[in-house]
Amino acid sequence: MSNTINSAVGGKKYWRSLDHLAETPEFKDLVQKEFPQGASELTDPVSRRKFLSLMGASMALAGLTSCRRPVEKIIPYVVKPEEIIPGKPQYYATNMPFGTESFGLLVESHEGRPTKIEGNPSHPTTKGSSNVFMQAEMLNLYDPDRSKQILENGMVSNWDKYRAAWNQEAQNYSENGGEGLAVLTESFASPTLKRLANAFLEKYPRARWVTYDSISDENIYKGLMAATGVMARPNYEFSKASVVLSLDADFLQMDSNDIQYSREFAGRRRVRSEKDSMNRLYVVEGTFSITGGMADHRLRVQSGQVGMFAAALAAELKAQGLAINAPQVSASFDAKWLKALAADLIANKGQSLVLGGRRQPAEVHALVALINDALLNTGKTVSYSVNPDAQVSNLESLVELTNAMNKGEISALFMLGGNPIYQAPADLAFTDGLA
Amino acid sequence: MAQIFPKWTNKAPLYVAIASVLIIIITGGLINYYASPLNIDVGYRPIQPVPYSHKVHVGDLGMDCRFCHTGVEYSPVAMIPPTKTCMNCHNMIKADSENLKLIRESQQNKTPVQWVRVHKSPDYVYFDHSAHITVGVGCASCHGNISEMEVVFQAKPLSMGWCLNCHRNPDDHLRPFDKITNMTWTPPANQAEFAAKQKALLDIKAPTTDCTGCHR
Ligand code: HEC
Ligand code: HEC
Ligand code: HEC
Ligand code: HEC
Ligand code: HEC
Repeated sequence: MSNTINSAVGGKKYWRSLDHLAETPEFKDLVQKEFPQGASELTDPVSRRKFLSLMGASMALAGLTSCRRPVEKIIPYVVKPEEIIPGKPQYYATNMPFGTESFGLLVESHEGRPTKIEGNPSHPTTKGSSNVFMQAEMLNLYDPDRSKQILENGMVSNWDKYRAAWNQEAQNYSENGGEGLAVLTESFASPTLKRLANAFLEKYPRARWVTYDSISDENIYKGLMAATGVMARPNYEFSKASVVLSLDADFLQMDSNDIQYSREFAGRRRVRSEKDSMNRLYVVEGTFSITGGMADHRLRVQSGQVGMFAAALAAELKAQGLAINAPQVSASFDAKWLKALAADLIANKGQSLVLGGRRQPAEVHALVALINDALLNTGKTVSYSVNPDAQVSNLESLVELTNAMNKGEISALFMLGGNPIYQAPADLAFTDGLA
Repeated sequence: MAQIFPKWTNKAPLYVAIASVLIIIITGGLINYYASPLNIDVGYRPIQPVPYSHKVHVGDLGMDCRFCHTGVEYSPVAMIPPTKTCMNCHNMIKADSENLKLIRESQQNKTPVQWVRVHKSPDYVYFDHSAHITVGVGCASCHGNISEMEVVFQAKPLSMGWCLNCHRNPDDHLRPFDKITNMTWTPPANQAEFAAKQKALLDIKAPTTDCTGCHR
């Protein structure tokens, strides 16, 4: 394999990855070595003859190993915890905060070791179902990178030392009102954490509280803020929707509240008697998602064009007689598709639902809210609610924080969860700010 | 010209054939006999770290199995008792016996005693004590007379054929619940009658002989 893209020779250029195209040093290194990093090469000087003789010996002796039974140990408790019966799993009901969402879980535990996570059948959010994130959370519990104790500059320390160090700092900060103090969290909707955050900001009024998630409903909140004037989130009632249009929203797998939405959506697909009817799903998206796979009608549109599509839809709805304040658009989409969709939505006024994905910018969500309003869906298939405890991700506040850090204005930063070095947009230079 | 091979060599292939058939049959038979669980596992009696005797505690003192093996009725595993169970008595009885040194150390240092496992079904077999105890199969049916054992040894083969033998006809092994841990119980004359009644009462279906029942 040639490891450079030979542009001197005419004709098409082929590349296997962006690294290949850019000819990064890592890529060159990779092709030069036969084995990827981590895979060891055979360097120890075992000759072929030695190898064969050892193999021969182990083959000859392999038969003998099974003659003696391996000794196994039974190791009982010293003091048995009263509630544990060895061999019987225990189930704990708990809650998993996930962004501004919270899921009710049952965790199976064997002799004190959690082994499996499932939804809690008596919790309204999950009703016994789970999603990919909950299943993966199991691995998080055994993550070897999880810190088990207090560390100070990589060395094991303890709470007392931490408290002593912080008490000294706290003295200074209470004098200057928390100037130079910042807290960075992931988004949350925990009443307790919100109360503590408020108490913290009351004590240190000039401190910053920054919330950032690389994947969140930030755009949805912002779009609704523009449309309605409050930081609200949408709640969809799929059980009442006969026609659903998803604009790049993967509500069956990746978006917020997917468990409830999947269940309610599927509920309208089940036909039990001749009177039951099925809902219809239109999906407009750039990549194939689970939701796209479920679609009755799927239109492939570049992710960046989805907003244009929403505008075109609004214009088409207006053309078909709906009272809506539609923006002007010049883009052209499949006209037949668009006409049929608009007609279907109008025919199902009050029981249709349009939703936008969290990947789409705030403007799309504002427009979606407008369309739902014009289709008389608000209050029927979609409603908006304000959670006073929700602390929503905010990219601008992270930008401000990073700028302040780079200017040297921040003297102490607390990060509660999250991994901004990895997650924050690279051009923000968050890492430089930390140094 | 003299013959290269003597005359008897004409029959040699026949002898060789007979001999090899015999050898195959004999070695097969020997392996089948000596390498079966009946021969290899039965009688397995490892040395335990503490010279605990079931004969003393069960046979002489008359303790019930469930005093120590508390899990049998509820769980797949019977459970070996925690150090605490032993120390409930042994902080008074024989409190400074050399034989109990490990138990006292375990109590002090919070380090568990490492008993050597005697009975073992392979990982690919699903076995559940509670399923058997709750229908009235006694310990002795599978473990022999433990109350006579100074050191526990495996009394039954625990092979697949042995499990199936009982599963095909468990009637002789079903007993009244107050006799579960009785080591010397023998089926009375009207056992067939009792078994029929018990099976109707507890809704015991024919124990599983499906592969997936034990190999889950
Ligand atoms: C005083 C507590 C105590 C009582 C009572 C007791 N055991 Fe045990 N048992 C033990 C201990 C400790 C071990 C582990 C040491 C050993 O294997 O000898 C054990 C081991 C065993 C084992 C072997 C476990 C293995 O490794 O496979 C069997 C079977 C057993 N007991 C059955 C019984 C039966 C049946 C009874 C009632 C007749 C009984 N035990 C009563 C404490 C007790
Ligand atoms: C109900 C009380 C009781 C319990 C519980 C009990 N034992 Fe004992 N154990 C005794 C008595 C009584 C003797 C003394 C018998 C005798 O005098 O020979 C004894 C004797 C012994 C001996 C022999 C000591 C010697 O010096 O000869 C050992 C070893 C022993 N027990 C181990 C254990 C272990 C291990 C456990 C926990 C699994 C246990 N015992 C639980 C009552 C108990
Ligand atoms: C149907 C047969 C059967 C009966 C009945 C039975 N056992 Fe077992 N027992 C086994 C087998 C098989 C094992 C090995 C289990 C394994 O390796 O998972 C075992 C293992 C054990 C062990 C050691 C491992 C463990 O589970 O903690 C103890 C202790 C034990 N039995 C005690 C008892 C007692 C006490 C009773 C009566 C109350 C009893 N057993 C009844 C078949 C039986
Ligand atoms: C002495 C008789 C006997 C022996 C030996 C025996 N079993 Fe059973 N087994 C039963 C009976 C009786 C039942 C109960 C059937 C019922 O509940 O309907 C049962 C049930 C079971 C079940 C079903 C439990 C469930 O939850 O569905 C399994 C699995 C099982 N035995 C495995 C084994 C294995 C493995 C062995 C051999 C190590 C074994 N048994 C040896 C009598 C026996
Ligand atoms: C009553 C429970 C039971 C049922 C039913 C059962 N098995 Fe087994 N099986 C066992 C046990 C126990 C062993 C382990 C025997 C040992 O330790 O040697 C075993 C071992 C085996 C082995 C390993 C070979 C060996 O002998 O060690 C195979 C293969 C196997 N079983 C196949 C089957 C098939 C096929 C079926 C269905 C026809 C089946 N089993 C049904 C209990 C069962």
